[in-house]
Amino acid sequence: MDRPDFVPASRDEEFLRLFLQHERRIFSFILGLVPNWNDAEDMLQDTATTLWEKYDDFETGTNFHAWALTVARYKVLEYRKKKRRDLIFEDGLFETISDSLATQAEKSELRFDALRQCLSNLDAKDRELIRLRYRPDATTRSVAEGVGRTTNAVYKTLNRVHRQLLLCVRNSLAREAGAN
Amino acid sequence: MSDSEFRELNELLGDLRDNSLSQSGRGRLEEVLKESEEARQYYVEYIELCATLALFGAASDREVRPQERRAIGDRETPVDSVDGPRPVTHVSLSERGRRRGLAIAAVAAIALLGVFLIYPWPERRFPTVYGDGGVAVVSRVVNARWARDDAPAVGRRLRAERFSLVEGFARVDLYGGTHVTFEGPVDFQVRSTEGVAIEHGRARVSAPSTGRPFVVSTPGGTIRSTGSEFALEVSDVGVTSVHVLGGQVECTPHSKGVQATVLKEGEAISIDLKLNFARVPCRVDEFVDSEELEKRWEDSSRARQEVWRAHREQLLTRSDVLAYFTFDNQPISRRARDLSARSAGDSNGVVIGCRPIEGRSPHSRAIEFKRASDRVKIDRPGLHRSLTLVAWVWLDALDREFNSLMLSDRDEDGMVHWQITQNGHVELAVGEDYTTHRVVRSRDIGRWLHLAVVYDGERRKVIHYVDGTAVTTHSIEERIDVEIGDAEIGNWAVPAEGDTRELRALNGRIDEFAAFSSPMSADEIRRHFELTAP
Repeated sequence: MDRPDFVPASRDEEFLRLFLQHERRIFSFILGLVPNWNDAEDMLQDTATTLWEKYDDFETGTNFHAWALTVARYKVLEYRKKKRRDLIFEDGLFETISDSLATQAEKSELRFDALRQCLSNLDAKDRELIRLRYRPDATTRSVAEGVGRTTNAVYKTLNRVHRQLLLCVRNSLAREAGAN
Repeated sequence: MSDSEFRELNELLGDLRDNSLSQSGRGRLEEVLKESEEARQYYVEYIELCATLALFGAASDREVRPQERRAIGDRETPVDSVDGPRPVTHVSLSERGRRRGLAIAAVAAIALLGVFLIYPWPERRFPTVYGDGGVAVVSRVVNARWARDDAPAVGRRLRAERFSLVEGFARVDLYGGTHVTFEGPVDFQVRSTEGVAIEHGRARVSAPSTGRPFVVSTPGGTIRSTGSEFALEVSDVGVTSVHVLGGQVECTPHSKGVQATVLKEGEAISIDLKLNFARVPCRVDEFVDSEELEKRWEDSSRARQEVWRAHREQLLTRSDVLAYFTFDNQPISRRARDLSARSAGDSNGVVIGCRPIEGRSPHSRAIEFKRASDRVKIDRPGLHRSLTLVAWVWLDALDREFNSLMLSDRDEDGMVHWQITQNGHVELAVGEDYTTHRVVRSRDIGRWLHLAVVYDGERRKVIHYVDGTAVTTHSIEERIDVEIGDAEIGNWAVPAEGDTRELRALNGRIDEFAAFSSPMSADEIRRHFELTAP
């Protein structure tokens, strides 16, 4: 049988590429709505699995990101239904935050570049703390034990550094916008 | 927000980050986020920061390169530089949840890829569960012109995405129960099963009284409602207005610290670009409602039918028409009239079973295939160097391994078999098989599909078309002349006693079936599609 002319070399590679390209945005979206790390990671994996299973229905060239967010949203809504009483966001606030998160994704690449720059601008000790804190399985306490400081001290430093990074990224973008 | 308020928020988020947020902390965080847009924006940026750090680490002890290659199985795949550099991860099958972000996804995907490399990947069938990402369906389209190429037709399932309707009307039924009629020119976005956003243009909304509130985001503010009928407009200068016909609608302008306004029947509000809002006269009557839309659709359907008829008349003047059925008039005679019939002989199709049913428009008729016995028998003896088959098909399901469009009774080389496989591949078999990849997807079930196949004996090519566009082209290695002979539309010959071949009965409708003894060009196929489309 003839091989038809239009089929891409490998749908699986295509999927992997697309998913990895959008993963950060998808994870941000989930984490913002769930905000529990473990649950959010589980949901990210569930979302990835579902997207993979349904990938046959995806039209190459259409909006993968929008589709992925829809699937992620479903997972989050199911999760909320199960957690009935323990929800961190009540419904009205949930909707508003959901909208904001979806919009946030739009400037994502610029913010990523700015973050890289802001990280390199950090004091070496602060940067090291962030690096340690975001290793897999690290907690603020385990990092504190590792560097020989109190948990509370490390917690306060991390808070400060997060705020610093956030504002640095904001300022970078404002400068970019101003320059253009 | 004051400095101390920001400090408090930053701490609450630190607790959240560290999974150490107390019950009262949670309550406080919710309060703060509810009150302040600034706080919400900070929250969203904070989350993105944490997510990014988690996925990519803070590694600047490593060179930051624009592109890195990662080995996947035993292949190398260049990674897009869009999202910046990616750490080279050691991939091992660690337990779920132990590793963060990138590693998890990579493991899952690579594990699957690994399987793919070893075993032939099983064909995925049509989904049997929800969650295909669809949040709404297009239920009515009248004289619509869209900014995109793949214009959403009636029955098309929509995912969360943006649309630009240049002119005409489109009614979208959200799965949450709200019906929104958009009037072009309008730029809108379907957000979820209960939400849309309108950037510019007009819409009329009918929101159900049960379930979650329906939400519309506009440049002026957010509108929420349950159990109401209202209209919205975002004007060319960006002024948002809301007009209420029935029920209650809550409008929250985007301006900081402003409370929501509740509008009742007969009331209307307008929000300008500076986010000033004011009461205005209620103009809901100016927006097209469902009744009016139906009437316009009826009119437009009638006009469409004239277009179909004109094109058909033109085609029937060709000398190569083998058959042309529209299935418009067969109930009494149980004959499908062949409009191309010229000779004295009876070239009509014989209808067995098959119920008449609504076709591509409320005024046209099609034929339904449901029972295993339903079929239309035709007889077209004669060999042809080339052949074109065209049909408007509505599939209710692809139940069988092979679903007949038109199958010749005999199996020999040259006899024509046109069918759709269970996995959505369209096939023309004449001894050699010419099969497409998966072109009929789950979103194509339950809508009118234009299918065509051209067997070009001169140029030695077989081309399959879906909705007027070529989807695959095949070369004919050994040319043979083809014949329809005794054949069935929508089914297959009753096999002889003892023959255990599976049923190929179609489950759906056919509204126009035509055959020509010459190869139609891509332009002619496209014209047929455009001029006979609903």
